[in-house]
Amino acid sequence: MVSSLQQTSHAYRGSVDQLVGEQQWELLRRAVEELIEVGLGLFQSYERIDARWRDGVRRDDPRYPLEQGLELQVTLNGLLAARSRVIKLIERLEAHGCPPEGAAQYRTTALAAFDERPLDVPVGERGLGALAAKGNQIPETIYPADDDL
Amino acid sequence: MTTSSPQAAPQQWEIWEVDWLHEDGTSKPRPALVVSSNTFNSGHSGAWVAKISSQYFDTEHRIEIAAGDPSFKSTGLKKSCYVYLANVRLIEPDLLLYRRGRLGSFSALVIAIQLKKAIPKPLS
Repeated sequence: MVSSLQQTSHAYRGSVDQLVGEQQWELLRRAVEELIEVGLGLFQSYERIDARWRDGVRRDDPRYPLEQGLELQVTLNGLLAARSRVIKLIERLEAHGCPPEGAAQYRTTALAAFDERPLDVPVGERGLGALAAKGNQIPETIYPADDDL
Repeated sequence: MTTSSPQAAPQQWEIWEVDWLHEDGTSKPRPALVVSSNTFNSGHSGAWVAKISSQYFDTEHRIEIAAGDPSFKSTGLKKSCYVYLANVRLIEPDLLLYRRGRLGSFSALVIAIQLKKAIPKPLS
């Protein structure tokens, strides 16, 4: 009698554990799907703002100061780090047999690193000429020519 | 080492080996950073470049290109060095010897910010 109760209660506990485990995976799947949705929106917003800034810089539009690029670089690095962590979570879910929705799109939405994005800054020839004239006051001899670069 | 045809127009933020003329009339090949815009560079008048040196000089508008930077490999340089923005000059096309590499966009941004500060404001 006791032995039978022990077996039943063990099986019961096992079923509860399994259910809780599955629920945890299910909860994780839902949370990751939300991260995917929010992430895709953020990536799109980032690309739009980054492209607008680069275009503004190229046109020398004062509404897009160069300094804004420093903030964009920090934001992009944060997004890239978060994306790589979400992809690891997707891989865990896939390995467990519960792939989240939107995983394929999330993977293919690659963000280029800041360093790989072209930056065209207009620098006026007159300004460079003025800088050169000022710089020419520095004797050339203080810059030895024998650098091994 | 990255090389390309000297006929190819240099692009802004590329590092080129140039024939650098000295005050005494002698010249020596050395790396320099292209700072003029691509529109100017494509006009076949040469390019504005800033001097690069591995020597440290306590002058204004000096920016380090550190060998530890993630994008250093793409520069084509061999060791940490400095860009001296106070030492810019217009280099004729035939003195641009070959392309060595290019700066990463973040380093280019930092230099562009410094360059805008370095350029004297016109008298109003």
